[in-house]
Amino acid sequence: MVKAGNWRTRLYLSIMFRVTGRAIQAAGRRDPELREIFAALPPGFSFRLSVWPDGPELNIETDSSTLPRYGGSKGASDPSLHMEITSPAHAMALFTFAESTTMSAARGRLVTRGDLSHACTMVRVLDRVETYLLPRPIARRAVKRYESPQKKHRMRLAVWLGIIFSRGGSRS
Amino acid sequence: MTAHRNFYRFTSPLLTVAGHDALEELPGLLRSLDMLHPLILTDPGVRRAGLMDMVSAILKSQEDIIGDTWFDQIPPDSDTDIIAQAAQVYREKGCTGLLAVGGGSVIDTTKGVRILVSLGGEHLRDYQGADTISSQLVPMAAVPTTSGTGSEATLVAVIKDARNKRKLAFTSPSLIPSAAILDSRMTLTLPPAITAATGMDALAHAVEAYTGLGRNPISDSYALKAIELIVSTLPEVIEHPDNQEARLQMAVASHLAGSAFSNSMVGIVHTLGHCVGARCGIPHGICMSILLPYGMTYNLHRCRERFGKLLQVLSGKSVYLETSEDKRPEGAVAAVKALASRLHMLTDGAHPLRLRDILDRSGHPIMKPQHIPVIASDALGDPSHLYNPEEVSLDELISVLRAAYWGYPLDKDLVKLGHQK
Ligand SMILES: [Fe+2]
Repeated sequence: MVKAGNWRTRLYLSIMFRVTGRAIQAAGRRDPELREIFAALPPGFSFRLSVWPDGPELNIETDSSTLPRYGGSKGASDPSLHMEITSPAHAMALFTFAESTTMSAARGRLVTRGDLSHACTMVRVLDRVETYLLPRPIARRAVKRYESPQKKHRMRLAVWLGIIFSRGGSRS
Repeated sequence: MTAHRNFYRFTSPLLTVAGHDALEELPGLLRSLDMLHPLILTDPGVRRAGLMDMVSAILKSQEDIIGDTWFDQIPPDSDTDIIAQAAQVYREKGCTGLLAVGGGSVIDTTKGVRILVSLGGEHLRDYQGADTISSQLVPMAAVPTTSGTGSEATLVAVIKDARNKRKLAFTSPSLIPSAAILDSRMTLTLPPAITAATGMDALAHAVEAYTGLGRNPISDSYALKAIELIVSTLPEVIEHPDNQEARLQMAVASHLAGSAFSNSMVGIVHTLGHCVGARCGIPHGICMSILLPYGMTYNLHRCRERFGKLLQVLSGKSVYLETSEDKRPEGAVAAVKALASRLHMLTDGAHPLRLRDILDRSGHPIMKPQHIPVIASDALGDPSHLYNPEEVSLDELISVLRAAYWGYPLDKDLVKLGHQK
């Protein structure tokens, strides 16, 4: 099996995937806008983001209350939506926030299996989560248009506490 | 850390034959593509217009080509059931390729059939997504009979799922047809109103490709050439529908615009247009024509220089030079509006300028003001806005739709300028 990138790339990406996955779970349960977005997805929706060929992956599933749950590298065998970043280099561009998720998609760096409108939804989710996760100057680069969410500081704290104390994805 | 590699992709693997009698090249093309027994797909309208007789006559004289296997019942709102039926005919008759003769619906349906007969399986929805189809598909040639969708040049197929009426979207370079034939005779009988609407669809493709996030220098050159051809020939084909040279120019323009947006994708004009079309059954080209100036205004602050450059292509060099640099972007929007108004005049009002002016048979507006919030909310789920230069939100989409509905200018203050502010 070809190893994706060098060990530093692999380590960085696997940390970032875990942080992002936990942040989606934490923010998706607290932020009203994200809750609304997740509620609009079909019941039992599952999402996987991965890096070709054998990079890290993150899995999100919505539970019966339509709230997102992060499952680390454990997810549905055939997720409703699977977005695969086509190389570790592109994953680095995305997760060092040199390139926004939108630009990655526009430049054909993501293979998306499933309903493209759901892909669109997940890009919105990632953008929103990044505004909580990242300091403003970096978040501005990572999203198409930076909008400071309401109660940002309180949410940011909650998201980071969620990342640190959540057990989701501990097996990844 | 790995350095970020910056590059872009442009794909156009297709063979294009264009000319006043390009269709005569069809037999040679079928031989070179190794499709001596094509399944020919079309719709009843194309058949009624006598265009199929032309295809039949050309194929009948070829001994080595089986040219009488048809599937001619494609409705305007084709879906996965129709595709499954056509795929069944393809398999039963042992065809070796697909020939689409028609507008966007026929060509997209044929792309769906192509996926099914090449990859097997029963359900098209298993293949939906972006860049998911990487294998070689059976050969497909397309003969467009409208100048607008550019579908004969694109990697996109949008097909309705018969089960839940949702749109399935497929984008993969393998979906670009193997060959396209642009023959001016194919669009000669197109009525003025349809010519106008489809032509404005092509213009929307080119403008959105030129200003969208996925643009690159190659798609730019296709888009600019397309715009140049459209502004110089669209009014002419409406005034003189049998001007074959102008018809050919429009076919080429639509083809170039298709290739451009196939690479750089479209934006807010299509996002809203898809949803107005789906909710109210308004033809795509009409939505494009009405929404294009509003979509441009919405995005203006994101790439003023680009919109400024468009003025030169839309209105000519002298207007461009006479207009001060800071007024050029707005000038480009005005030029698009002026073109739409001219089409409105030339078609005796059949080409509408506001969404509320699109009437049903009893003379009432098809779209009602109460549709606006529903359509805006649908639009958030339409993948095309991903590539729009400015972010969109529900409130902003409502503002754009309202303005386009009543025909008043878009209040730019309603568009949040995000972090540019
Ligand atoms: Fe279009």
